[in-house]
Amino acid sequence: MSEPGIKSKPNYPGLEPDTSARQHLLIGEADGAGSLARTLDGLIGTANEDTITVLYTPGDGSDHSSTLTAARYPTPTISAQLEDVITAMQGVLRDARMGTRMYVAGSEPFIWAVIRAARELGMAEAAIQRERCGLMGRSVICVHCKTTAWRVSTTIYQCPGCELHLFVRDHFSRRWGVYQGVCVDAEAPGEVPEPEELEP
Amino acid sequence: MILSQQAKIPVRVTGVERVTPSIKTFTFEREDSAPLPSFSGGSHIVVEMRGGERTYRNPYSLMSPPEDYPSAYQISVRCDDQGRGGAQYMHERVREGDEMTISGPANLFPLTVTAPRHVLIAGGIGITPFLAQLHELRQRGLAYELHYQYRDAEGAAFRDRLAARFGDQTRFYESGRDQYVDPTAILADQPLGTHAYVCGPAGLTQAVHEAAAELGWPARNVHSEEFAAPPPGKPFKVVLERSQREVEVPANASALEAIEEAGIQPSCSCRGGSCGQCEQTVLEGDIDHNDHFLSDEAKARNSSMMICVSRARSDRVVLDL
Repeated sequence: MSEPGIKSKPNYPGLEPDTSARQHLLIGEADGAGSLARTLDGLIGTANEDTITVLYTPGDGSDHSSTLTAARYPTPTISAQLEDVITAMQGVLRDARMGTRMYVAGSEPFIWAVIRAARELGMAEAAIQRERCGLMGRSVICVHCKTTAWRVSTTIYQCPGCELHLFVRDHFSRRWGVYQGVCVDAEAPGEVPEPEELEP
Repeated sequence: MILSQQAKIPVRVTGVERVTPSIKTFTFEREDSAPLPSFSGGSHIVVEMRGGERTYRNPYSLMSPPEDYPSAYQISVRCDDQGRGGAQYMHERVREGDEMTISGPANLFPLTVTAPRHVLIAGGIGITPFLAQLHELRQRGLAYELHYQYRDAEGAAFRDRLAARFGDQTRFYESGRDQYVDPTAILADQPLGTHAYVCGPAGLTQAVHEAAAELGWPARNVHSEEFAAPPPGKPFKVVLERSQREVEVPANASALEAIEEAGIQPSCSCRGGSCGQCEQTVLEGDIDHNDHFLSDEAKARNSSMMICVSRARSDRVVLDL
C-alpha cells in the first residue's frame, strides 16, 4: 500500500570516502558500524588521521562497537544512545569549517535525527552521506496532534498521542525528518483497514 | 525568480556620473515619478538602446540599495576600447534627461539569506551586484566579507565608497601592483554554513569554483554570475521551422537580436547566457555554445541552444520556433 508518484521519499545511496573533504565525521548506529569501517578503510592512508572523527551508538540495535575499536582506526567515541551521539556531534561541528563531510549509517529515524541537528549548525545536506541499515520502521508525525512515533513498521498504527488510527503516507518532510500519518477512518469512524507491513 | 519576458518600463535618465575614465553610473526614474518594482540584491535589468545602427538590449546589475518600491534604479557600465555596441552607446549617447526603456528586475544571483555567513568576491565591474547585496546583508544583520580586485586605482570604481561604508569587512587587491585575490586562502577557513559569491572575469569565477571544490565545499554553496556579451562570429542562417521564416544572423549580432529584428519575439530574460529562458530546440545544425546555462553534456548533444549568445558553426541552423 505505497503511494505512487511521491518524490519526497528519501533514498540512501551509501557511503563513499570523499577525499576532497578536509574533515571527516563518521556517525553510526548499531549495524552501521560495518559501513563506517568500510568508509574508514577508504579514508585511512589518504586523509590525515587527525581529520577523522568517529561517533557510534548501538542505540536500540545490536552492539558492533568492536568493529570500530580495531587498532588501525582512530579511537571512536561510543555512546549509549542517540542523544549522546548528537551532543558529541554538536561539539565537533561548532568548530568545524567548510569542507567537512559527514557519513551517517544507521536506521532511517537515526539518520534524520542526526541530519536535522547537523543542519542547524550549518552543515549542507549535500555534504552529508547516508546509508540505511539495521532496524526498519519509520518516524511518523501525527498531523492531528503532532506526536512523533519513533519506529512505525505497519501501514496503519494507533497514535500514542491522540489514539487516532493513522495511515502512514510516503510523503517525507526533510525538514522534520519524519513521514506523515493521517487519520485513516475520518470518513467512516471505526472502519479501520487491516494494517500491513510497511515497505522499507 | 521571474524569468518570463519582463514588462517594459519607460524611464528617464536622471543622472549620469563618470566614476572612472571607463565607468559611468546611470540613474533611472519613472517619468511619472511612480515607484519602480522592488528588487533583491543581485537583480539585473535589461536596458534597451534604440536609435543607433541597430537596437541593443543589455543586462546590467542593479547597484542601488534594494528597498521596497524604490524611486530610482542605478547601474554602472564599463566601456573599454574593445567595448561592444551597447556599452559604447551608453557611454557616448546617453545623456541626462533622455527617455529610455528598461525591463523589470529579475534575480539570477540572489543571496541565500538563510545562510549565516557570506563571502563576496568581485573582479572589476563585477562589483555592481555586490553593492546592492552589501546593503541587503547589512540590513538583515548577516555576517559577510568582501574581496574586491581591480586593475589599478583609476579603475577601482566605488573603492572609496566601499572603504567608508563597509571598510572593516572589505579587502582590496590591485592586480596592477601584483595583488591578487587568492580564492583558496579566502575559502580555506570559513565556518560551516558559509556561502560564497563571485562576479567578475571568467578566469576569476572559474578559480573560485575550483578552489571551493578542492576544499570540499558543496557546489551549492558557491554562486556566480557572469553575463556573456554575445560574441561576434561568422554570419549564419536561422530557419524557424514553426514560424516558416528564415533569418540571416550577421557577424556582429546574436541570433536572438536578428530574430527580434525580423519581428518575432522569442521568450528571453537575461540576454547574457545565464538564465536559460531563451533555450530553443535545435532540429538541425552544429552549435557553437557560449552560454553558462547548459551542462557540458547538454552542449555536446547539440539538441538545444541559447539564442542570446550562442552561434552556429554550420552555415544553417533549424530551430523548432
